[in-house]
Amino acid sequence: LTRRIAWEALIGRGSLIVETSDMRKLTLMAIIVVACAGNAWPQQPKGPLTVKGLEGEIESLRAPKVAWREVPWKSCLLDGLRESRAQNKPCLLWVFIDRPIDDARC
Amino acid sequence: VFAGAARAAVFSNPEVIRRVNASFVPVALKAGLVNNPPNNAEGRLYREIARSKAEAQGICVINSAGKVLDWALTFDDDPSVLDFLDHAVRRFAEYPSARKPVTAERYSKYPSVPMEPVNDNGMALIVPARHVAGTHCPGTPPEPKGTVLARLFGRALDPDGRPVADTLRQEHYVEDRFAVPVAMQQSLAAAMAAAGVDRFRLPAGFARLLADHAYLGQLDVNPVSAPRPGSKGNLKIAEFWAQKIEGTDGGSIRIRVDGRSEALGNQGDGDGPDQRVGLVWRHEVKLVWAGLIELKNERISRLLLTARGSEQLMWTNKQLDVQGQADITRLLAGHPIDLKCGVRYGIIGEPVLEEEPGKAATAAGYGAPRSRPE
Repeated sequence: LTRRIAWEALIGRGSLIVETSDMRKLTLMAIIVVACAGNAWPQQPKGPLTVKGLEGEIESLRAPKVAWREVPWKSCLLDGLRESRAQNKPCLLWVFIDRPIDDARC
Repeated sequence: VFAGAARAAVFSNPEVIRRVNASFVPVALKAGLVNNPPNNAEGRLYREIARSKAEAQGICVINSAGKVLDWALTFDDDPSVLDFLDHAVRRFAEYPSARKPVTAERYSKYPSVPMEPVNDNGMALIVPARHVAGTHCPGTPPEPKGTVLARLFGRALDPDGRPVADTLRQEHYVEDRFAVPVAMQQSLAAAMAAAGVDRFRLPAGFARLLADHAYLGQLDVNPVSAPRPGSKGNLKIAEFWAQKIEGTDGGSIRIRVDGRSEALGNQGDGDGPDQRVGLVWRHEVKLVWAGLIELKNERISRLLLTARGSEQLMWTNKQLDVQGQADITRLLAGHPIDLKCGVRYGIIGEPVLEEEPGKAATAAGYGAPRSRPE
């Protein structure tokens, strides 16, 4: 009875319990596999790495045309004011919290 | 939060882009410069902009003399952005220079929530033709020669493992860049030399640098460094191994890198300043890495890395009603994020050849268009 209660606690009450040695081993293995799958690390593709292959993979992740890149922001205030005078246009300033230079993440 | 929100909600609107490019000279300024300007004529221009600021960040329009015409922090709705731009163009037509005093208009939310305007101080500012001799533009400090400038691209994946289509929100698509200092490259070269043909661990600082940039979302949700006051970052695992595999035609030594990293950052789950701010976020990133690094003369000549794994990010603000509002109305507060998905990253890096900001920006071939004073 003790063994049966312990077994039910392991696999859950209400499960079909067939107390054969093979079935218990099989069920235990399934539990271990499922548990391990939940914590498994993802895998990188196997095989040799090449410069060309990596460059292609990285480039495929880059969005070639994103809307926010369509505004050619200057980063120099003097340059902006000079162009403002030359083109008779106001400067639109986007002032944002300072971060390391050239940070594309914001 | 503000910069990312403004980029996605304001400067990705096609009509806003069209009008900005047609009628304005767009300049992106780091708030650090506006709030802590250099002590010279150029710095006085920054101080004049800061004199009327409502917050440390914002969208501002100035005339050719550097006088502020309008500030806006958020907008009532998308059409209000276009109204604001039209309004600013009209004001510029009336006050293009410092010949007439101009009052700086300010809006917490345009146009429904104006703030107290700031009067002109009557001072005409000198706009220098160039930066002080021997100095660089404060907007683009140069990277030292030999620094490797790395560009990172990150994508959230859909359930089928494909990158999600959205590229506006940083929790779906992120671009980042970071520098690998010369000293870090030399420590990598030393580790390689000591290992000979055996596998060796990447220096801890280098491993941390890589993990520190591979995450989705805005700067605030960095699960490693957690830059906001009151937030906590934890790089739980950073195991990167490398092994020399071959030489190259150009005389470089190529090493193969593989590894794994796991980071968990959060804010708002305890006491402290974060409780006043109301920010609550949790960010978990788990990645496996592979790639190649080429070294020549103890310096990295090429950096190519990929990572894939999973990411879980929750971000919200308990003190602000950020649910159900248009992004354009809450640029300072941001939008809620609830993300759980597969992710992929790519990093490509090349050395800066000259100590010059323009070349630094384009060294990896992906630099945005930049301009420098003559």
